Amino acid sequence: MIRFQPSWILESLPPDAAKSLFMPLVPRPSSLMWFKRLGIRMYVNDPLESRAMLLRTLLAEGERFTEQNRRRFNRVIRKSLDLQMNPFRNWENKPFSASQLDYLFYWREAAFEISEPVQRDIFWSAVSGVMAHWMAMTAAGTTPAFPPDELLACMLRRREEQLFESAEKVYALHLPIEELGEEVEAELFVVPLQFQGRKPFETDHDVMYHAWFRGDPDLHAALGEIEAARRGWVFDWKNGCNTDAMIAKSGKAAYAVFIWSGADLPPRWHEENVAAVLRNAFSTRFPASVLRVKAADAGRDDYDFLLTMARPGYALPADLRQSPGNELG
Amino acid sequence: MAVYILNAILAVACTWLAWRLFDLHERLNGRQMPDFAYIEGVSGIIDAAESYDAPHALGMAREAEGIARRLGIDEKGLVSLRMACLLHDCGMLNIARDIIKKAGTLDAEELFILRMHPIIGELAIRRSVPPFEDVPSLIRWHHEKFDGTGYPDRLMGDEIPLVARILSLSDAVVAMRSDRPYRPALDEETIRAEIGRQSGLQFDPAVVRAFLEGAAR
Repeated sequence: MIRFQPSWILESLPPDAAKSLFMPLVPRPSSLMWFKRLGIRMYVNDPLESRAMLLRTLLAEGERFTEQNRRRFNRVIRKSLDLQMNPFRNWENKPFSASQLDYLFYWREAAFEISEPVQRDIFWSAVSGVMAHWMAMTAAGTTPAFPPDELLACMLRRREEQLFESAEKVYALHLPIEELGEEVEAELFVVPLQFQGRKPFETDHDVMYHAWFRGDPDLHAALGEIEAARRGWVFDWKNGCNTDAMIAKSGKAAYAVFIWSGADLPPRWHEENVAAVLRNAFSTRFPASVLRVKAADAGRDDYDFLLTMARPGYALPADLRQSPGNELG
Repeated sequence: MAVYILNAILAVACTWLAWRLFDLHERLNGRQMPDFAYIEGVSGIIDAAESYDAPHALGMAREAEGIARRLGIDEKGLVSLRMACLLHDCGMLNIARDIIKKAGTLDAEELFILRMHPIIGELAIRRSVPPFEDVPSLIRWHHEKFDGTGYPDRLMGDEIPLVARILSLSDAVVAMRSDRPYRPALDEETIRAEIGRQSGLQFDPAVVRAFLEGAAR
C-alpha cells in the first residue's frame, strides 16, 4: 500500500524543476492525474498488461466508450448461467457472489466481441472498478446498492468524467522493466516503493483483477506473474531492492525521488533501514538528499516518506532542508 | 503499621512522579489537549467565507465524533478528527472569492484551482505543528473518495486513513443538511438514502454503516 502524492513530490523540488518524469513502475494510474493536469510530460510504464491497460485508458487515450457499444455489451443477465461453465466458479463467496461471477464471465467474453482495441480496453478498465467495488462491499459485509449493469455504466461514466487534454503527452508503456531504455531524457526519476507482503487474495484487487484479465482463475499463478514482473523493484524485508537496476534506469535525470508509506513501525526504522540504504546506493550519482516524513495516522504509526535526491549542480530547496519540522535526516 | 504507611506514601509519590513525567513528555511532544474554543472561532471564519449560514465545521465535528466512537477510534484519534473537522476548509481562505462565489458552473481551470484547497490547507497547518501530527494530512484528504475518484491524490480504499474517511462522510452529511443557494436542505431520510447509495463508491462501507446505525437511534 502506498499513498502516492504527486503535489508533495513537486513541493520537494525547486519550482519548475520537473517538466518531465520517468517511472519504470507506476502506482495506481489515477494517482498520476495531478502530473498530467500540470502538463508534465510522463514516461510511465507497467510491466503487467492488466495494469498497463488501465494506465493507457485513463492517461493516454482520450476516447469515450460509444453509446452503441454500451447498449450492445452492458446488458442485464436475465437468467443465471450454469456456474459449472464459468471458469471463475472457484471464486464463489471468495469474494464474489454467483450472480457477480455470472457478470464477470459475461463481461470478459463480451469484450472479445468489441472489435476496436481501445473500446475493449475501456470496457475492461470499467470492470476493474466494478470488481474493486464488489470486493470492498464484501469485505465490509454490505450488499451493493446498484445492480451490476448500472454499476458498470457508472464506472464508464466516471472514467469519462476524468478525461481531459494535457499540454504534454503521456507515454504509457508496457515493457518488462529490464527492457526499458536507460537513457531517458526525463528530468525527474520517480520510484513509488512498495513493500513485500501478502494480503488475502479476496482483498487483493491487483491479484484478482490480473487473474480475471488473464482468464485464469488460478490466483497463485496471477500472483507469481505480478511478483516476477516487479522483482527487484519491491522492497524485500530481507534483501532490500535492486538499487543497481534502479540507478541504471535513472538515466539523465537531475532528480530522483522515492516515495513510500509504512504502518506499525516508527519513522526512525524507515530512516535507518530504507532511506539510509537508498541514500547510500545512490550517493555517487545523487549526492544531495533530503528525507521528509509526515504522519497519515499517528495513532497507527502510519507515516508517509519522501526521499528526494539531486545530482551535483542541482539544488534541493533550502527552506525544506532547514525546516526542522519536515525532515528526519 | 509504619511500613504500611511508608508504602502508601511511596505509592502516592510514584504515581505523582509518573504523572509529572507523562505530562512533561506530552508537553515536549506538543500533545497537550488543544484549546478548541479558539479553533472553533477560526472555523466560524472559514464557514463564513464559504457562505454557510449554520456552523458547518462544528456540526461536522459533532457528526464525525459520533461515527468515530461507533467505529472504536481512540481518544487521540478523536482529538485529531475534531481538529481536522474544524479546520478542514482553511485552504479555502486562499482561493479567489470569485471562484468560491461563482454562481454558474466552474470551468476546468477554476475547478482545478478550487481543488487545490486541501493542499493549501495542509501546507498552512503543517508549518505550525510538529511533524508527527496527522491533522494536516487529514485536511489534505478530506475530499478523497473511497473508490479512488476524489482529490487531490485519488487515494483509494484503505489508503485513505480511517479518520479521513469519517471526515469526508461527515462533511457530505452536514452539507446536505444545510440550505445552499442551489437547493434547500435535504431531510434526514433523503440524506440516509443518498449516503447508502454512495456506500463503497464515495464512502467507506464501514463508515456508512456506522453513520446509518447512529441515524437509526
